[in-house]
Amino acid sequence: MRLKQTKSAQSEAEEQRLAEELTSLVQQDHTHEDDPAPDYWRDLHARTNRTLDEAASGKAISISWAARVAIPGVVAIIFFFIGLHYYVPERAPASSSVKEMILALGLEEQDSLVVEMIRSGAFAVDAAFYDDVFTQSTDETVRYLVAAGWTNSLVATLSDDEAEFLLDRLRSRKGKSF
Amino acid sequence: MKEPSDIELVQQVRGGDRQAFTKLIHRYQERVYRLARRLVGFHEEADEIAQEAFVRAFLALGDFRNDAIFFTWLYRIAVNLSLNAMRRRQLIAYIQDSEILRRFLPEKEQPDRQEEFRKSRSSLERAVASLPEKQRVVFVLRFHDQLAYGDVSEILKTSAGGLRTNYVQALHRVREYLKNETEADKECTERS
Repeated sequence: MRLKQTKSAQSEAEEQRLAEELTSLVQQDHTHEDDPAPDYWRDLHARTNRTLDEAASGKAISISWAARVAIPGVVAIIFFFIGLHYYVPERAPASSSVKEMILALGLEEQDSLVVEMIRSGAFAVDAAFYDDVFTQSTDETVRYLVAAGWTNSLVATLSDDEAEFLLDRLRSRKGKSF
Repeated sequence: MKEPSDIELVQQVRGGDRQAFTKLIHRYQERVYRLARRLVGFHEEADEIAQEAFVRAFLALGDFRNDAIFFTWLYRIAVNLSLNAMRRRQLIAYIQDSEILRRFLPEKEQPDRQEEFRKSRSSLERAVASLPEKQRVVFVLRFHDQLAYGDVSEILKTSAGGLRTNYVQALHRVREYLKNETEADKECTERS
């Protein structure tokens, strides 16, 4: 019991010593956290209230519905890229097409995928690309989607649990630490 | 006039007074924003998290227990949202880091938020960003917010036992990071 108390006191003293040392180091540091402009706080409050109004109305429900519907297709696409990355790195990327990949999905997933891509605005920039989506080579498709910031909107539609699950899978496959 | 307590405001919101919730936003928006900013590192994400935390709190106020502390409950929501945002960013980085995807983009167009982060953040922010997830959260709650272990334990829903170990490890790491950076800066200055 006494040993436990001594250890705890030592640990508390170490914590205090380190925290003080760090505070002093931070004070000597010439770089500082950049603070938002003073107006920001008033604006944040107003925007939070607006977001609250939207959340209480039907608008938020339709967005979450779209995200839920799109998830199967989005997950399939991510796994497709992971598959490309980990299992067929030697093969020329053009040898499999997006068309093949999409057709391999179930009908419901195909619909969800197209709905989500249109919703995310990935195709709004280039209507010609949308018309021809099923005949593009993988090279062109991937180049276009990455350039359009597609990865971000894609990951944003995953639920928190799905994002965490996928990240764990990637970590365990690659053994990479973040 | 005496300011109403958090729990009094919560009760007023439950009674239909939306203005009472605005008071809670005023009271905590800066702390919630700073917590998120220190965890996720970027203003835009912290801004979204701060708003979302209040929205979620408002919508879940019915589940809030009267014997609980409002700010630890709100902090818990903000920490969870921040952790989710951090995981999403790691996922995006992982996918974008894939050899396949990088091959399609010219070098200058490749996304590099890490570089942006390195250039625009303080040494302490960069040191905190280098910590593992749990140490980062405990460090921010203890060092910046000066919360007691009891509150940290309540926010993270974890036993207080291991928290001090996590915090002391984080303090060691941050200190080493800052010392190394200072030494590297000195060498650079001497050379030039």
